[in-house]
Amino acid sequence: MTSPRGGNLLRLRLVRWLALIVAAAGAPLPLAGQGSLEDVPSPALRAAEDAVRDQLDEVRRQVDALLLNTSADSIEKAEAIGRLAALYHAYDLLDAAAAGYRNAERLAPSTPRWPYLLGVVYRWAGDFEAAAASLERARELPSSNPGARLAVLLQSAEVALKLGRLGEAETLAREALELGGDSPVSAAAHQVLGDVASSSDDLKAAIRHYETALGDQPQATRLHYLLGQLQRRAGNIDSARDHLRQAGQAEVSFADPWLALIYLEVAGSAALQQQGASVKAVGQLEAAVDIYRRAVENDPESPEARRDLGALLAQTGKYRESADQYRAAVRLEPDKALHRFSLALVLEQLENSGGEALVEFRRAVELEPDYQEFRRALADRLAQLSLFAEALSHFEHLLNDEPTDQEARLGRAKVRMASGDLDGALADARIVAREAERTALRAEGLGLLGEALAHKGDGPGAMNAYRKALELEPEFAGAHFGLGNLLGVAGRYPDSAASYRRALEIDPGRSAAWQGEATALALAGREAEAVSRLREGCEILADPASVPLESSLVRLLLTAQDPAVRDPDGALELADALFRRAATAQHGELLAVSLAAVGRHADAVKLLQQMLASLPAGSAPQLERHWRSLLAEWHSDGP
Amino acid sequence: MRFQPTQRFARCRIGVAILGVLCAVSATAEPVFDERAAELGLDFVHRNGMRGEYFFSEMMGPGVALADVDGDGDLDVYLVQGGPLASRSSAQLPTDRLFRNDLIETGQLAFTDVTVAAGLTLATEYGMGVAAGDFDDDGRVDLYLTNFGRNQLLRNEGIDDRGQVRFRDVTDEAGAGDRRWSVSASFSDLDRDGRLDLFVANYVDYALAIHKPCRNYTGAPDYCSPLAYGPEPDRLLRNVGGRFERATESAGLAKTFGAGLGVVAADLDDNGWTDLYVANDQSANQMWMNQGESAGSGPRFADESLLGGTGVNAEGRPEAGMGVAAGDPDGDGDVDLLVSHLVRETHTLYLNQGGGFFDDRTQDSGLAQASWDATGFGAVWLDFDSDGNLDLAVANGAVKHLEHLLRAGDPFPLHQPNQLFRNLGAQPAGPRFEDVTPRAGEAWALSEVSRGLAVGDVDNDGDPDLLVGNNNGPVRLLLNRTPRSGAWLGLRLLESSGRDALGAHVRIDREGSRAIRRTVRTDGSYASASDPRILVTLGTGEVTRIEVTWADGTRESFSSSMVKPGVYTTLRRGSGGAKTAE
Repeated sequence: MTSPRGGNLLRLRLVRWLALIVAAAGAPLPLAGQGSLEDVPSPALRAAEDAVRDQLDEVRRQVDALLLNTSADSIEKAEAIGRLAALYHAYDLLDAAAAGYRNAERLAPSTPRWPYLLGVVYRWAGDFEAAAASLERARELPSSNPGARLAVLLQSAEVALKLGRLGEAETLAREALELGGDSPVSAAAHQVLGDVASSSDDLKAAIRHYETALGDQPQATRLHYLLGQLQRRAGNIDSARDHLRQAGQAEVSFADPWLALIYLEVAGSAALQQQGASVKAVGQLEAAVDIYRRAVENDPESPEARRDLGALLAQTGKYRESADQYRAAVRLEPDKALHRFSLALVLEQLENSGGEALVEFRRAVELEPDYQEFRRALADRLAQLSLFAEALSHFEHLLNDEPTDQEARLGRAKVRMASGDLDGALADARIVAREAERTALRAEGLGLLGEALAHKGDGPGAMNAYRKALELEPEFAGAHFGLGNLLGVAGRYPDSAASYRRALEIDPGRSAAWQGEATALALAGREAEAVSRLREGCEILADPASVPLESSLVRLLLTAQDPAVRDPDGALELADALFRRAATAQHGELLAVSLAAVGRHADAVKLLQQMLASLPAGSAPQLERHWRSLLAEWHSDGP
Repeated sequence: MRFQPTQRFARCRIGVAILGVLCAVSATAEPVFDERAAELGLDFVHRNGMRGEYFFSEMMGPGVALADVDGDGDLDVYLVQGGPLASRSSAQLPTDRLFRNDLIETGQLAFTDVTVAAGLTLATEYGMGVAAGDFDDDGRVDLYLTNFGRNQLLRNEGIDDRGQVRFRDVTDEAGAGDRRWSVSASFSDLDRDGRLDLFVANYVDYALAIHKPCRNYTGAPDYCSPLAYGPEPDRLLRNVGGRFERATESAGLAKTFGAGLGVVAADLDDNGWTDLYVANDQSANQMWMNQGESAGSGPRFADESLLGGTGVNAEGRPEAGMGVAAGDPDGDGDVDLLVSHLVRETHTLYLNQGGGFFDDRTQDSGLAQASWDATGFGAVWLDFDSDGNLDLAVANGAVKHLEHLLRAGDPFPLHQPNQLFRNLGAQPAGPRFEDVTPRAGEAWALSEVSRGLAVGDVDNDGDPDLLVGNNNGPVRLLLNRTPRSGAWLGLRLLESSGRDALGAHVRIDREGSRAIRRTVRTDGSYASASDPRILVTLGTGEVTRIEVTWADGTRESFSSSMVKPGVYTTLRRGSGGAKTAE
């Protein structure tokens, strides 16, 4: 802090003397030099945002003008200087803010706001003695704002704690508690009282106060840490762990009307971004979004403001808005690969935006060809879209750059597998399974090895690979599924069904596993259980993922060996619903077969004939032959 | 070292005649340090490559090392270099530098640049830090370089025909590579198999390709916070006999991580297994408690930082952990921790309460307010005034522009003076520290952007000196000239192979005084490696016994007749007396 001592005092006198000369000549009087007022340092604003610099220059000019105005009273001057100090405060220019607040206090010594805000600045600057003195002056002045009075008391209590003045902190917190009643201040006061008790090793009292505070503000997860530490000190390790599991960074909050005011006039966007970041850091994401929005409103042409808002919106699940912000950032900085990459990631979360996402991924890689993560993401995306050749080229690029990049090798193995290069996939999968650092990656390599070996017809080798994968990662659903397939092929239906079920316990969204389990159960003679599991799967999977399961269920109900399970009427009902939802050839055939199964041969024949007529000539000869054979069968069976 | 009594000490000497013992006890010599790097041949200026883009990595280095790499009995100096950040492929890249200490050969403290002769022109990555340890157990100190780029393991090949130490890059063959941004690393024997494992603290997922412009509150360009990028997982490399296996996940160390900057290995719960403490920048620290090793599968760790009280500060808030110092400032025999932090935070003191539980005693220690204005990086314990209490030195330098320097038109407005805190001795609430920086002379009045800090007895005179790595500035060597107030004992503990016995604990029993406990380590601080030798002030009591607990838990006693005050004595494993299993 600048203080008018020694050289500064001399400088102050010189400035005042110069000010008098300047004033006499009719020029504007600098902020310094008004009676007992001290020099307010001019912050370095050369590199500041234009809006901030212009605002501060303008307000400072206004203050200077007001100070020269002999008709203005000291309260008016204090308000002007205080407003300037508050702006400095909001922009974290603490030396200038402190000097401004000191001047405001000198001009309006009966206004508690100035010593209060000065105390806050001193506290931020780590000068707790000065903070305590300022806050004490603020406390001694009457205030018509009860909320502000409470804030003064709580700030004072916290500063007293910092200085180790436990008794004073307790007195102040109790006064706040009395004044605040059940308001949010109660939690803050109890927290201070808890701190006091904790510092005095009165663990019981501290726990009581923190628990009260937590009861008032359950969202204040930081209290859990404090409680956890107290419980640990009290020897209650289980309770301590329980609290620590719930610990977070959300603070006890209460409205501080004077402090809130300082941010209202902030211009530009950077200060708001910083403020938003602070709020975000303590987990108040929605509040942070609001502040970031203000930052964008203040400077819509700031790519950083757009970027930060976009990131936070994505974090809160607002992908469409997030994409808009990133698009704006891309517009402002089209050659910034990170904007494009972030936009692509967000677009991937939106329906029907895959094409745009791919364009942005590609552009990011073009702009920063040496940054592996962009290329990896593009390669993964291309592989998902079955654009195997292009995906392969990017995985190759990654591996040329870093041959030990096992993630890239696994990606290449998957692409090789999908494009039919089984030997290549096997070679890569073996290396990943052996050399990857992360267990999950090694297990994935083994899973892929199992899949490739199964395709090559090496059942025992495949089974061995899956089992090794499961030793590493018992919760690897893909390996359980693969094992289920192999066991089914080997005719070990109960084991196969158990493997599928394990896969489904981990990942119930695997449609093929539901079908596999039902098939294995049916082949094991447990048809009722198979039907029950298929029905369960249909409930869990939403349309359209449930469609293959519904088809399987229709078939099982039609073909079950167990008369108690076979249910042609149920099958017909299901098939009819399926056909109504999607009149595909497969659904039509299922419906026709179901109609025939309940004896409605004429309807079945009519439907199949209609479908035959709609088949373009020669388009599906096998299907046509199959349907004609069904028609022949029904004609012979029919009445 | 020249003896130049300060006024206060001179008064004390006069008073000795009258007050006798009383003065010896109460004498607290004022700190006297001379900065003599350039004069002694340490001709080195770190270049961070800044061009105005505020690349995040440009203000995080450099580390420094004090290590006897040529095995001649004095500490050589390794200095980490940065260089340009952009367009490195086409740039002429500077290398790290090795300076040989000629003290033993010539009797004069002086340094000679032996970088080229030592084969270190290969150290051209954008450097962050350096760790020192003999990973291949051949009795020679190897170096691990943490880089913003590919890390490098430099094997010490010994002395060549020309009498020059040589290094070879064995990163790939030893399996020690890491391309992520690493800052600090620690050699220690975590599985008690007699081999040094390596833990690498990684920082954030940053590359120039994803550089984000950041600004301060006024909108002026400034450096980003680590929260602008995702943290990188740390890595454990398990030594399986001169090469390493990646064991991060199998050891349970992948479960949680932050933006790691500082790391120290120490037995924090006194159970005989070396634990790991990682200081993370703006996220909770990790305190990895070693749960031992079973059936050769390697050590297992669990993060107990929150329960143990070292994850966040006393208020439950994570701080910007930079450097970490492990030591015993309260003299109760266990390991306490000091973590250096950002301005508007504190250098936080975690005092060990036993059983792996710590209390944040920063407020009571006097460190809170004294460190509020400083951004600390390197931090080391040292008994600079030879009063038997471990004092604290912290290398400071901001990471965001300081407004008062901007106002003064400073072109590199991050510099701050380093700090020296005198330990005033144990109080009921723990040790109390006094910031003696303002009285510590010109060497401590320097205001620079300091990062790495290593402690060691560079001139072998029995007191600790300091080596400071400055970002975009010259290296500083602070020779301790503080008047000594008692006899000293220096020990170098070696395994039977001849390597420094990192992790070994020594207990020095004295007549009529409490035992002194110290641990052999080179790690801790920030991105730096310190003198592994044990240096203690004996005071008035005669040494009666020395007991070493080696890193594998075996205890060995050494007769007091094997050591002599005032010189360094090497105690080699197996050369002592009775051995006991743990």
